Amino acid sequence: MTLLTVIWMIFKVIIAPSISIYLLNEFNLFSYITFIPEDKMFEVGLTAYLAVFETLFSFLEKIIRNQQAYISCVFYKDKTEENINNTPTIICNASTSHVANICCHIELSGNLNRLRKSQLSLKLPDWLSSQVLATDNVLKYNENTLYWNFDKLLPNEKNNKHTADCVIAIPFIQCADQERLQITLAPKQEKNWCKKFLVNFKTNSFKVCNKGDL
Amino acid sequence: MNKRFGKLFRNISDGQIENVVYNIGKENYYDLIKREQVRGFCQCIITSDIMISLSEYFLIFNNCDIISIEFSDDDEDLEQEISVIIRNLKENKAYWVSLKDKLEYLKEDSINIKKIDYKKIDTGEIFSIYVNGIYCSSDDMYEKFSLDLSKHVARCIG
Repeated sequence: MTLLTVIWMIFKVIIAPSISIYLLNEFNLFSYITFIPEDKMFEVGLTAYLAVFETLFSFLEKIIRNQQAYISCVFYKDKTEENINNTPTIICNASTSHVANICCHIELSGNLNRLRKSQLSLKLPDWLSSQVLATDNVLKYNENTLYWNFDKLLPNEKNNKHTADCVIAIPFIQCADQERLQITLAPKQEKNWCKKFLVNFKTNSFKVCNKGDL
Repeated sequence: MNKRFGKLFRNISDGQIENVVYNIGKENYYDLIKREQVRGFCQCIITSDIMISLSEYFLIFNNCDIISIEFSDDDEDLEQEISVIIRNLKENKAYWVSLKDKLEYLKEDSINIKKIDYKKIDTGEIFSIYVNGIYCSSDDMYEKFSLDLSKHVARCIG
C-alpha cells in the first residue's frame, strides 16, 4: 500500500465527511427544496454533499494517476534468473580476466514527460569501473557513476502515457585487489519531493565480489 | 618472434584511447592500473560487441584470419561448434555471417568472449585481444596494431 493510497483513504473516510457535515451546518442547499421532508433534509444533504466530494476526489485521483510514472529495474546474470526479488552475484577476479557483466532490464510506463525527466544513478566503488558503448542511448558513464536517462528511449509526442523497455548489458572491470572485496549495488533515483510521490521506482540490487564464496 | 603486450586505457576527461606497454611478468597488473588512474585514465573493457566489431574489421579490411575464440564459459560443445565455423571461415569469408550471428546469440545468453586470436594472412603474424583491454602482437607489428586498435575501440566506446 503506497503512501498516496493511505492519504486518499484518510481524505475519503475522515476529511470528506467532516467537511460535508461542516458545510451542511453552514448551508444546506436541500433546505430550499420544499418536497423533501424536514426531518430528512440533513440526511439527503449529507448524501448529496458526500457524492459531490466523491466525484471531486475521483477526478483529482485521475489527474494524479495520469501524472504518475513507473520505473522497474531488474538486474540479472542469466535470463532464467530474472526476478526483482533476486540479488545476483557477479565475480571479478583473475580467473574472469578481472571483468564481469550484469544485465539490466528497464521497464517504463506512465506519464511520458515525467519518464523523460527521470534519471537513475549508480555510484561505483573505486575498485570497480565500467564502460558504455557509444551507441547506447540510455546509459552514460561519468566520474565512475552510471546514469540512466530515458528521454531518447521514449517518443517525443504528446501522448500522455507510454510503455517502453530495454535490456542493457553492463560490464565491470576490477581496478584494485584485496584479499576480499565485496559490494552490494543498486541504482537510486534522482528525485525531489514531488517525484517521490509521482514516480514509482522499483529495483533489485546485485553483488560484485572478487571471491566466489563470499 | 618476440611478443609484446599492451593495454588500452581511456582518458577520463576527453575519451581518447591510449595504448600503454604492459611488461607482463615484470610489472604488477594493478600497479599499472593505479599508475594510469593517477594520470587520469581508466581501463577499457573489450566487450563482446566490441570484439565482434574488431573481428569484422580485421577479417574484412585487414586480411586476417581468426585462429581461436575463448569464452567466459567452459563448454566443449560450444568450442567444437565455433572451431568448425572458424575452419570454414578460413576457406570462405562469407562464413563470417554465421560466426557473427552465433556470437551475437551467445552474447544474449550472457556467454561473453574472453579472448580472440588472429593471424595476418600475408605475414603469418599472430595477435590477440583480451576482454580486459590487454592485447599482444609481434614486435614488428606492435606499433601499427596498437594504433589501429586504439582508433577502432575509440569509435565503439561512449
